[in-house]
Parts: sequence; C-alpha cells; structure tokens
Amino acid sequence: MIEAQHALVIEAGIDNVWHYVQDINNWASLFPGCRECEIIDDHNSLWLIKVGAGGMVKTVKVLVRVDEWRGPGCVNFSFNLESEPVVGSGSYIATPRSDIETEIGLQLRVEGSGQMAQMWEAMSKPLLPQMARTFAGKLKDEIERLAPAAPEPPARTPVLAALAGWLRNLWWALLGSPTEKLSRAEGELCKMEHNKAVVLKFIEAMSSSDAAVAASCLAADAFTVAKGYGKFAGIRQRETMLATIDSFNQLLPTGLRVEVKSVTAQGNTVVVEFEGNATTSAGKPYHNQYCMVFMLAGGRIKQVNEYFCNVHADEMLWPLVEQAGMNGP
Amino acid sequence: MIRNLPAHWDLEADVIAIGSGGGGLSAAITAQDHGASALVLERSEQVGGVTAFSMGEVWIPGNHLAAAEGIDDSIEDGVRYISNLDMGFGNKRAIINQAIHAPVALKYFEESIGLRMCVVRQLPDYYYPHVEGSTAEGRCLEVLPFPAATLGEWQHKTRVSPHVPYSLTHEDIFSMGGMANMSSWDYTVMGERLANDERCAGPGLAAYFVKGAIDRGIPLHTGVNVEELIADGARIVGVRATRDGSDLFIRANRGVVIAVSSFERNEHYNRTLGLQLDPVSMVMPAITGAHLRLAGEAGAQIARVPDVSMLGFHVPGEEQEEGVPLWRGALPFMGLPHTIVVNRRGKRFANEAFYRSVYFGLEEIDAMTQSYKNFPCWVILDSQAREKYPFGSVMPGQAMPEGVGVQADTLEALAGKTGIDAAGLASTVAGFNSYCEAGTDPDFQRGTYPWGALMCGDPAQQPNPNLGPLRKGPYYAIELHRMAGGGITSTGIVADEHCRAVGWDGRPIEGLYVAGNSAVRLDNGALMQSGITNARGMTHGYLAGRHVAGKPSELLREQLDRLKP
Ligand SMILES: Cc1cc2nc3c(=O)[nH]c(=O)nc-3n(C[C@H](O)[C@H](O)[C@H](O)COP(=O)(O)OP(=O)(O)OC[C@H]3O[C@@H](n4cnc5c(N)ncnc54)[C@H](O)[C@@H]3O)c2cc1C
Repeated sequence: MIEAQHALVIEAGIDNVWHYVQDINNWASLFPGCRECEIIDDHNSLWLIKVGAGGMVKTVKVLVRVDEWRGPGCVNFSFNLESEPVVGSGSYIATPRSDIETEIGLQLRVEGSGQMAQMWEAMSKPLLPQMARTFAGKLKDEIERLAPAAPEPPARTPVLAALAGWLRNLWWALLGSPTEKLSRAEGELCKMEHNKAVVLKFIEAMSSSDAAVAASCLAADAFTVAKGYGKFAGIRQRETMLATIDSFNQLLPTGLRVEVKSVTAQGNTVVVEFEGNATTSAGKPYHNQYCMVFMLAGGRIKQVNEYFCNVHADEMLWPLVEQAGMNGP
Repeated sequence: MIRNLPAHWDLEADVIAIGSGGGGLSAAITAQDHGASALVLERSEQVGGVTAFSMGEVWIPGNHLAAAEGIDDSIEDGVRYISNLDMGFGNKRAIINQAIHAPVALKYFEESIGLRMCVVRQLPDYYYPHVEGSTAEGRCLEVLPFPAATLGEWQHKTRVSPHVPYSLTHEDIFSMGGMANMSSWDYTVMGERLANDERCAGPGLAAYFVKGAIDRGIPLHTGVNVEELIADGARIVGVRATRDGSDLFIRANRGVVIAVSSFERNEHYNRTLGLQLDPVSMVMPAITGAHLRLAGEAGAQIARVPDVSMLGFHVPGEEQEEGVPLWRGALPFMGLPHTIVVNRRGKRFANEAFYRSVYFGLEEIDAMTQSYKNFPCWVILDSQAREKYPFGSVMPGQAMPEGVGVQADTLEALAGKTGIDAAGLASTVAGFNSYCEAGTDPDFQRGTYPWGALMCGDPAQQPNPNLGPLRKGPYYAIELHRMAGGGITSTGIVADEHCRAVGWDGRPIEGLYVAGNSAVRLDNGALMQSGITNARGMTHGYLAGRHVAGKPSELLREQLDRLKP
C-alpha cells in the first residue's frame, strides 16, 4: 500500500471552506479531464475520465464511494478503477484554527491488487505525495481567491460529486504517470508565462518610475546585482531598488522609454533584452542597452542580474546622481 | 529546376532541417558544428518524432562499444550480413556507405553531444545464427538513461512513447526475465526513474539529440508545417512553411535536409506506394509523406524495396496524445507460449516468434482467387497466457477489456464467434500442443531464432521459450489489423553517399538532402533489422550535415576498394 498526506492552512473560516468544498462546480473546475459523472445513488458515482499518461491518453472509469461524510470537518471515501486492479481510499479533514483560518489535511492510500500490485504501487509512489500537495494547494488558492460567501447547508450530491472530482485527479497520479506529467507540463508553461508577465510589469514600472507597482513584483527579500566595474555596479536590496525607481523620473523626466527586444523564460528564470531611449534631466540623450536576468520564486522577483553599458551610464547619469545626492539606479 | 522565390524571407539559416526526429536533429547538430548555422522545423507541437516513439535500438556492426566489451565483430561482417539478406534489392555502394559511416557517426555524437550508449548484451541479430555475418550480440546499442529535467522548457515538449516501457533499459528488462515476465519484475527502479523523469529507449535517444540541439542554441520551431521547397532555378534555397495558418518563408543559404519520416498516415500513398491496404498506424498523425511532395517538385527520384505490413490491435479507450486511436504492435505477443496466429481456415501460417515470418506470410496471395490467404488473421491465446503475460497494455491477470477480441470457454465456441473454421482450429491447436510437448515446431520452427526467443518469448519457458500449449479455457481471439511499418517503409527518395537527393537524371539536386526514413532503404534492400533505421537517421544526419556545411566525408572514396568483396 502507498500512502501520502498533505496538510496546509487555508485563510478562510471552516464554514467558508466547506461552502466551497460542498459545491460541485467549484471542484469540477479543479479537475480537468472528466467527461462524465454518473451519480448512482447517495454514496456511489461512476466517473469517466480522460487522463494523459506516458505519451498516451486513456479513458478510464472510476467507481467512487463516499463511505462517510461529516461536514464541515471530515469526509471518508474509497474508490476503485473499473478495468485496472487498483483500489484506494482517503480522507479529507478540516479543523478550524481561528475564525479566519482552517487547517485541512488530505490523506490518500492506494493499493494495487493481483500479481501486478507492485507495478501499480511503484508507479503511484512518487506521484501520490505530489498529487496530495498539488491538490491541496489548488484548493487553498481557489478558496482564498474567492471572496468568502455566506455558508449554506451542505448538500449531499455536490459533496459526492466533488469528491469524485478530486479522485479524478488522484487517478492521474495513480496511473503512474500520465496526467501528472501533462499537468506538470502545463503548469510549467503557465508558470513561465506568469513569470514573464511579472517581469515585464516590473520593467514597465521601472520605466515609468512607479515604485508601488514595482514593489508588487518583488519578493520580500529581493535584491539586484548591477554587473561590471562602473559607478553603478554593486548589490542593492529591495528598499534601495524601490527608492531608486521612485526617483528615476528626476533623472529621466521622459521615463526610460523601454523597448523590449526579447523575452526568454526557462524554469524560474526570465531573461529580457531591452533598450532605453530617454532624455536626461540635463537634456542629454540616454540610449542604453540592457540585458537583465530575473530569478523568481513564488511568482515574484527575487534577484536581478543587470547588464548594461557602464561607460554610458557613468557618463550620462552619474553626474546627475551625484548632483542629487542619490544612490544610483 | 523550379523557380519560385518569395518577395521576402521571414527567417534565415545556412541549413534547414525539416523534422525533429533522429535524422533532422543530427543533421542540424552536425551542420552547426561544422560551421553552418542550422534551424529545425517541426510540424507537431512536440519534438522527437517517431525516433522518440521507438525502442531506441541502434544497430551498428563494428562499433567501438562492442569492441571495448571484447565482442568480436567488424564492418565487413556487417556488410556480409546485409548482403546475404537484401535479396538483391540493396545497392552495394549504399550498404557500404552506411556500414562505414555508422560507427563514425556514433563516435561523433558521443563526443559532440555527449550521447551515451551501451551494448545491449545478449541481444542477437534477427537472423543469428542462421546467416553468415550475423552476431550473437554487440551490434544493438541503447542509450543510458537520460535525465530529462536537463531539457528545461523542452522537457515536456520532447516526446515520450506510448509504445515502450521507457523508464527501463533492455538490460533492466532482460535481467528481470524479459517482457514476458513483467509480473515478477522488481519495480523499484521503474518507480525512481518515473519520479526523476529519466528516459531510456527511444524517448531517451531522442532526448539526447534534443539536448544537443538546444545546447548549441539551434532554434527548434514547433507547429511549423513545411509545405513547399523554394528554388532559384538552379538550387534549393529555402522553404515555405505555414504556422498558425500563415505562410512563413525561410531561407536556407546552404541547403535543406528533409527528414520527415515516411508516409504511413497517408491512406493514398499507403495503397499506391506502400502496396498496403488500409493499414492502421502506430506513429503520430504528422507522418504523411511530406518528403514525396516536397522533393517531387524538385524532381527527386523515388525508389522502392520489398516491404511487408505489420499487425496491430487496439485497446478501446487508448489514444495518442494527438487524440487519434492508439494502435499497438502485435509483434512481442504473438510468439509467447500458449499463443498462436491463425487464418480464416484456423491454420497457422508462420513462425509467430519471428515477426518477419508472420508478416511475409500475410502477403501471400492465392492466385486462383486473387485473395489474401492469411488475412484476416487472429491471435489465439488461452488462459495460461492471460495469467502469465501482458498483451499490449493489458497486464497479466487483468481481465481482457471489453472490445479487445472475443472470448469463449471452448475453442469451438471461439471459432463460432469469430468465423474461423472450427475443425481447422481444433486440429491446429492439437498439433501445436503436441509440438509443445516435444519442444520443437516442425511446421514453422518456432523458437529456433534466438532473437525471437528473447524478444518474443518467455525465457523461463522450457524446453522452448516460444512454445506452450493452449489447453486452458477460456480462450481468446483478437483479430489483428494490417499495420504500417512504424515509420519504416518501402518507398522513399533516392540519395547519394552524402545524402543529397538524386534526380531522375541520376544527378544530385543542389541544396537538397534527405535523412532517415524519408530516404529509400537501398542500404537494406529486402532486409529489416531492428536498430537499423535509428542508425540510418543518425548516420544520414551526420553525412548530410557535413556535406551541407562544405566538409563532406571522404570515407567512402577512401574505403570502397578495401571493402569490395
Ligand atoms: C513502436 C516503435 C518502435 C520502434 N523501434 C525501433 C528501434 O528500436 N530501432 C530502430 O532503429 N527503429 C525503431 N523504430 C523505427 C524508428 O523509430 C524510425 O524509423 C526512426 O525514428 C525514423 O527517424 P526519422 O528521423 O526518419 O523520422 P522521425 O523521427 O519520425 O521524425 C520525423 C519528424 O518530421 C516531422 N514532420 C513530418 N512532416 C513534416 C513537415 N511537413 N514539416 C515539418 N515537420 C514534419 C514529424 O512530425 C516528425 O517529428 C520503431 C518505430 C516504432 C513506431
């Protein structure tokens, strides 16, 4: 038997959490690939799920049984795949931490049966914890994203369906492969697109000297490293970065007027090549070329490596910085 | 030569490789390393092609890895093997060209892209020991597991295979008793490799080449369908492709390499060029014979070698990532104990443990009635086979899913359900069962080819890994479908020793190259040997890449005399 669990705190009261959990539509949006769900009776439902796995997509039927549901704190369930010798069970446990915080725990157990049990379990082992984590995370994000709605009495069918939906995701994890891989790929792409957007927003904020927007893009411990040997070279912590951006329009009343040449994202890194075409407060042209390497974590910028022509920046900007008694961009 | 220059170019490189399988990627890498800039155009959303679908076997006689293991082999013996089996349809020059360059290309990619391969120990040539020049092991190579996370953003854009257990090497599989004995495997390694995304077999092979390309900054453009070659009246100078419905004109300063595999997803070409009636296919929908249309306009010559259909089946509910039904090859399952293949009359017609035998048998025509003697055909198994062995994705002991054939408690009832002649089937099974007791198959010599015993049998089955009686109901019959060759095909473009496409006048077409399965198999003739096509892709890519970069290989000229028989 393979087991996995994951616990986290959702910033919402337990009734709000339950309100979300007991609504099938909310769950359905979290569980891609489901084509049909047939409610058999109060306890049983049959799910038809299309899952991607190791280069293929397979349609599978999963029979889900809710053994016990005790909202808002606990749900116990079990399931089995119709054509594959895999059975499983699990529980959802929610405990209030305060009026506005709920701790939820997900537990999953999977058991292969028959002579290929070892294969099914080997395939599930690395994926089950990941699944529990991913799912709990999604649940948290969704509940926190939505404005809390007034709790309503839970209804039976939606809970059932919701769980069955959850199990759909579980099945992905189980089949050792499939879907988890696709969803991870999609997740990666989404993440990279998100990272690009954050970085471009930051550059725009820098260009227009908008420290508030820039701040929303930076992690709490962000810093930047200006490379090279010029007067601007060195490390600046978040506060200094923001102060600099704030005073940027004193140096460049036109704004930096950024023209982005290329944006490349890989993993947690985004590389942007851009040009600035500004006029300084001394009325001189400032045309510099930049390549900045942004490293992100949790969708925020943690570190920036800046490459630009030090000679040009020293010549055009440094006298203005000195004049103003500033620290440099 | 056509002249169809566009008003403007959208992209430019010295070399354009069309297709991101073994052929295209190795051409791009080699060209770039020899001083020409390259880019790869791929029609699908993922790179890797059929190469990534494959078992990843690479067959190279006289390779240095076998020599390092102390295995006795030579390029000359390899040439002898092929010449003994090509039935006269091969071209000597082409055979020698491939034979001398494959070991060089292997070394080249080991050194340039960090390709890491090893000998698949114990895996003999198909025809060993029956044909002179064959070896018991050493020619078939496979990659060491590739850590796919190092592909970065290409990790999930590089294909994996729905056909092979790509988290295991051949060595892993053999050491656990072969595919037949899945039910007693230790799955720890598989679990770890899945978790770390370490890829073996074809997915691993393709991944090494994708890594080689991205490490060099070779742009891989996916979703780009090449539709036309562009020429300036004297040579090929680029291509017209479409992306998201709009045209893209891409200039090739030095040349274009076509490596788009075969035409097996094109029903019309299958019938008229492949001589195969409505075959199903294991490969992705993108394999539609673009090379024939592209190079045809430039006057490229095509040729054909003898070829046969394969056989496949489908488990309902299984699809390829592109959404088309997933067809699986019957090859590894037909020759297992307790399993036979019969025709309408209930008669066996081939050595089921040696797929070439079955597939040539399939083509047999009854001239008196102008009909296929052995098609349709069915694989028949009993419950012992179901308990012990996998059948495609249907695991040992797992109930046969609905829609995969029929089952019945007796052979007679099974015959009734399928339309197979009941008396014929009964006598075939009785005869076969008696052969199993003796351990020899006087009709079709099952078990006499060590390759078939290892790859299509149960090594634990004694005295013959390919023989076991059918005597325990319920029995199963699965009708097999004609299936195209998994990208390997009869008809392709004629190329010279530098993989330049050749026109009907016998002269190379300037600026046009072909690699992999797009090139006709004159270096094999009527022979098929697993691992040969992946080896061709790498070798062709190497040769084309060097020539297009202006640094052609001189090896053939140097060695031709020495190798003349
Ligand atoms: C299940 C299976 C197992 C196999 N096992 C082995 C084995 O162990 N050893 C072996 O040697 N061979 C094996 N083969 C065969 C082998 O994989 C192929 O022969 C080989 O990969 C062909 O390589 P290629 O470069 O010619 O084409 P591919 O790898 O198929 O690449 C062609 C690419 O071109 C793209 N393309 C097509 N048309 C266009 C267009 N118009 N524009 C842009 N791109 C286009 C396709 O999408 C594809 O990605 C196997 C095949 C299968 C199906």
